Amino acid sequence: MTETPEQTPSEENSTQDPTEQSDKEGPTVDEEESDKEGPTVDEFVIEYDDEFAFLVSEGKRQPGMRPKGFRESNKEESES
Amino acid sequence: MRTSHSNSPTPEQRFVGLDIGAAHVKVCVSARNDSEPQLFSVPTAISYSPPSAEPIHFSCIGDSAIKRRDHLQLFHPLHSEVEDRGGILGDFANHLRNLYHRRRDPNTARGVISCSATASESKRSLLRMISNEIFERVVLVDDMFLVAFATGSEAIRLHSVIIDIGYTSVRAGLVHGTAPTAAERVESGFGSNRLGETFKEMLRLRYSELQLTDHTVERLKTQLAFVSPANKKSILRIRYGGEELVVDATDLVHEATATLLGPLLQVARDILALCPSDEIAPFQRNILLVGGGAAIPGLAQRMEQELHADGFEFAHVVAPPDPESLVARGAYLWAQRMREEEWEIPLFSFAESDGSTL
Repeated sequence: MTETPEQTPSEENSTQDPTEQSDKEGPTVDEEESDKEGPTVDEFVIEYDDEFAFLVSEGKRQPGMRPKGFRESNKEESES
Repeated sequence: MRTSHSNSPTPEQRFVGLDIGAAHVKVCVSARNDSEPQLFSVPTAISYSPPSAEPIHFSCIGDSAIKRRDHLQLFHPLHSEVEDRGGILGDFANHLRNLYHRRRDPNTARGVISCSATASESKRSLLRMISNEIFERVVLVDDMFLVAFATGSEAIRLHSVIIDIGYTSVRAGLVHGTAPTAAERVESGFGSNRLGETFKEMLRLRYSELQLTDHTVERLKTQLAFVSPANKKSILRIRYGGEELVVDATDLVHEATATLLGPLLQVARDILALCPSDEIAPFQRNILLVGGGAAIPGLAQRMEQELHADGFEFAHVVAPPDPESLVARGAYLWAQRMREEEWEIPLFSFAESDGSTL
């Protein structure tokens, strides 16, 4: 059965972790970037040679096939 | 408070907080040198060498298992369709223990495992299968209570709304010194996995030849997802055959991420509606986003804006630092303060459960 413990704030000898925040401070809010500073750039690298090998192993692509066309279709999309 | 019984924890005693999720397992364990606890994050996956590899049998978990999925057999240890799930759970548990335990040492670890107070018996059975394999003493404690405990804030322990954006669902509950009851919880089936599906579909529509594995889409989502007012630019660098194509996917990423807002806000509205009328303000002031999705930039601010617009005037939404690990950290802290008589002695229980999935 899952414990449904009741909080007993005054309990003696309760272990406090040094990383705990004080009650007064409460949790920290993630600071967001200011619009004035411009957007933060996040990059995601796709090593498609490796990706293609996994797609073949998963049966989603045939061995020997090349991912023809995605550059062209991407170009079209990015230009549109 | 720990007692001074003869069977009190020894100086070598290790405490472990364990949060077993559908996508990741988080382990928080006391260090041997009394320094900061160690935190491990392991994708919930295990791979085995194929049967043809006999007599050399090999298995690995987490990222190692996923990276080798092209030549090993990959399993999700908690899925019901897996054959010999008991054996797989046992192997998975032993790999988890090996993250922090030296084989020659006696197993004296005591673990607190997160488990919703309203979880089904089948879910408890799965968790116990794992815990019984790796802990000398164990106890299951409600995950939302552990989150509130982990913050160290008395105000949050006594009045808080915990919203857990998990892989398969968004769950919310009212913590008020105790774990939420069944009547103080709300759940939506729109979890971060649905967000991953949305990313995949939108990528397929826009870049039809750019087929990606589920694992890569998942990583892409985790790394790039954001909603306004966060100000981000999302760039894909696609490398193939020695060439590189750079794609600005900012609008796609923002549009896909924003699909999470509707279900999330509905859960927030529903759980806030359950607050006792004379305690509305203190609950609204402590709305915590936790789980993997809580780390999405802009999400907490956006939710707060939307809730204010809905008339929840006191709403203050925060995503604590490292929101994915808060449950495991709370479990570890709770383990440290367990009384000797509160621990349960695990029994060998590798019987098959009814087959539900966590």
